Amino acid sequence: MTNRVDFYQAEQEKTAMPAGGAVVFIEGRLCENLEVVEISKGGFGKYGSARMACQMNDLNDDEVEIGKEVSIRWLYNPLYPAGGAEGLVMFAGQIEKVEKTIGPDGVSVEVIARDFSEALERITVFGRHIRDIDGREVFIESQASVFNEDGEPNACDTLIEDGGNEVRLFAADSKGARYWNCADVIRYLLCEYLPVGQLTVPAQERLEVLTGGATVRDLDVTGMSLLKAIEKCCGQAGVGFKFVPRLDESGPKQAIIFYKGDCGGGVELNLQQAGERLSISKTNIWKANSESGTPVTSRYIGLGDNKVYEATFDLVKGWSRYDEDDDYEKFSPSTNSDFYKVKDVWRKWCLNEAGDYAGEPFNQGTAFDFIPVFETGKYIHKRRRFWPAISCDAQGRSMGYFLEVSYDSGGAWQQYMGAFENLLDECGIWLASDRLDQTLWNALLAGALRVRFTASVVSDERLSCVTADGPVGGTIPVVERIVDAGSSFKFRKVIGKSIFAGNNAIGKADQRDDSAELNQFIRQKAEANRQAIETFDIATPFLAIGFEVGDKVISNPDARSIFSTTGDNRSTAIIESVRMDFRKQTTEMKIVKSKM
Amino acid sequence: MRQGWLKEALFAGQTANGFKIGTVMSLGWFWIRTSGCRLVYRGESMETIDFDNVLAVTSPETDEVTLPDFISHEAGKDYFYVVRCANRYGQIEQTLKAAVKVSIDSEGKLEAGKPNGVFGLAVKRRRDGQIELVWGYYPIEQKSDPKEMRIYTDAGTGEVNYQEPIAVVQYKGKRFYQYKSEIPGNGRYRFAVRAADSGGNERRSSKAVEIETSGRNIEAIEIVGVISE
Repeated sequence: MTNRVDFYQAEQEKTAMPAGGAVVFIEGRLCENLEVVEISKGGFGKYGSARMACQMNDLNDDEVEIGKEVSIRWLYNPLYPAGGAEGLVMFAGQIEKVEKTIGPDGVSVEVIARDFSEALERITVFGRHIRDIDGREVFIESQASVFNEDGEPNACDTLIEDGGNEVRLFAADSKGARYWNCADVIRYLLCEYLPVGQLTVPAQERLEVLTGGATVRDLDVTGMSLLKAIEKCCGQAGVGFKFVPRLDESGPKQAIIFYKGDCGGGVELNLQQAGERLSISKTNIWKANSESGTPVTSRYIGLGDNKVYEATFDLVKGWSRYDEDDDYEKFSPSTNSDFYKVKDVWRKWCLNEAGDYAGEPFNQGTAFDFIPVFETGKYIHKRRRFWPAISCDAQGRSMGYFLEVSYDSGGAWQQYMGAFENLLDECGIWLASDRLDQTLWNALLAGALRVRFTASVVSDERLSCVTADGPVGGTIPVVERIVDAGSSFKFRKVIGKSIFAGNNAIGKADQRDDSAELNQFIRQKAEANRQAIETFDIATPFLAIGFEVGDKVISNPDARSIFSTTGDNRSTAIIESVRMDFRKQTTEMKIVKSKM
Repeated sequence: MRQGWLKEALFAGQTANGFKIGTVMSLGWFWIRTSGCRLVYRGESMETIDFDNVLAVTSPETDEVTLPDFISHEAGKDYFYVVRCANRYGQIEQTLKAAVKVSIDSEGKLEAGKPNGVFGLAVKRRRDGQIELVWGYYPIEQKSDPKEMRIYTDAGTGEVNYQEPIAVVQYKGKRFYQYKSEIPGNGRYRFAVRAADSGGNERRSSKAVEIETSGRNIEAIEIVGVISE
């Protein structure tokens, strides 16, 4: 036995392939006067376009008009081994621009067509298509198109049928809502804003596999073009997309294809070893130019929202002890016209988080120590404010601000049923009753009153995670990149110092820890922004039509190692853009090599 | 690459293919043709080539294959032949690159080669009121050089008369062609174009384009004045 394999394909020795036949059809009708100049393919920001030219005299008046459908077809023989010609669609789009130039040879016309990206650019995203709790569907134009607003789920739990497509809508209420994933958003945008039958959209399941089920976070696309909105969504999931012509006679003429970095098909680009006789079986590179930068490791620091903790806080007196008095009438606004001078006395209770009440005339001790609450010493003494409790009642609503008093120096506690105000410029409350409760007054005078407050406080520390796309701590320089995800990722915790902690009698606390989600988000970000190690500009010696954006470039082991992908399995070279020049009969490509 | 002969001879014994290739001499264990060979297969279409049945075997040096006499060809049918190479180890290529179509005419003889069909045939009404036919001809794999392009019409009857062309356009190579005509009258007209060689052979294609005419010329509107309020 042997592992040798003989190939029988005859070696091609011609230096150039014969020019292919590309013909232009406008609105399905052969346009014999237009000559194809170039076809460009690209993804993410560039997309596909075609340039055609002719002389004005050759053109009928109504033949070329803005918005008309264009397809460029490559002639091939579908009847092999018999003879015949059919057109294989290489480009499909619409006429975007017609340029006329007057010169010595008359008026020359250049027609520029773009693929479906042009149509998506002209559609503006706004409003929300909402599925109400009774199953009714309604589109509200004035609502912002924000998916998972503030990191909270706002997608309907079930998929609905919309023009033959299964699509997810916005939920009317946050109760029972689920998170939008990237696949949901893409399909919602394409199905909601595009008329049915204009573009082939991938199925939900395929998109979910491609995007890895990635959840979008606080994705606000209000007022954006449909193209930018999809770009923004895909940016979060680290996938790209492009528009390709469909070969089927029926159905939409174009399809939107989503692709991920190194998942494209493999194409070979080879350059023979120096000194060998030129063979187009072994060489399909005519020109190559490369540019490489300093390799650096990007260290991504992802920042979410500030951490929030719920605890029960003992409050201290927030008034000057020199203003205290046992005159009951003096401390009521209805019995004292100068009440404003003593409004804080007996009524203002504070946390003293900034140390405002440490010295004279308050003497309430040192500033509040947040270490047991925030579980870290990384905070500063500054004024904060109380926020509603994270713990919820049986209906799932926040317990709000829970004030308790003790009339026996902390022996027994009871909920304070009188009116009080939560202070907005510091952590504290103000008893707002017209006249203070008599029991409370007596406890105050006896010095036995204690006040405690259950609420949440925002810490100085934000939810964060760090990931790197290469070695850290070695000789390669490290560049730190901050990804501020804002309020999309949250951390809310009820610590043991809260009276509601572990209380099964009330509802489930609205605790949340998005650390894992933030970590995934930052990893996706790092993957999507892979740093280019080297960029290549390649030209083929003939008009090659088989190269597509997103294809992975490989080389034959016998060929020159231009892309160094055979010996380096940690990097990959991907085609970023393709330009087919029909006049020069060459295909130019931009290839980006980056770390996997 | 496949070595189907090995499995076939071992499990089915002395097969017809084994005799033709010569592997029966080794009871199917060894490949005999150490310099390789070429194998001929046939089918009624490219999709239905019978690769389980080797029709003929030739040496790799020869450029011609003579089929055995027992292989018959029915009148009026098309046959597709494919030649595949086997290397010195009996590995057979899996391509369809070497293929040929053989057409037998109604008299049982080899049918003469014909030019290709035209592509992109379209009809439109020009601003000057005439009807214009546009098409292209691409000589890819053509079996006979065209001499002219023949234009046929149904003259409004619904059935294209392929016996008498209404016009002939001389063939001038791989390019686009056009034909202009006055509007025959009100109604629905069908047109077809076929390329014909010097022997008058043309590919029988039923592709036709259709246009409905009202007989009136489209004239520009004359602006007699502008009223400003």
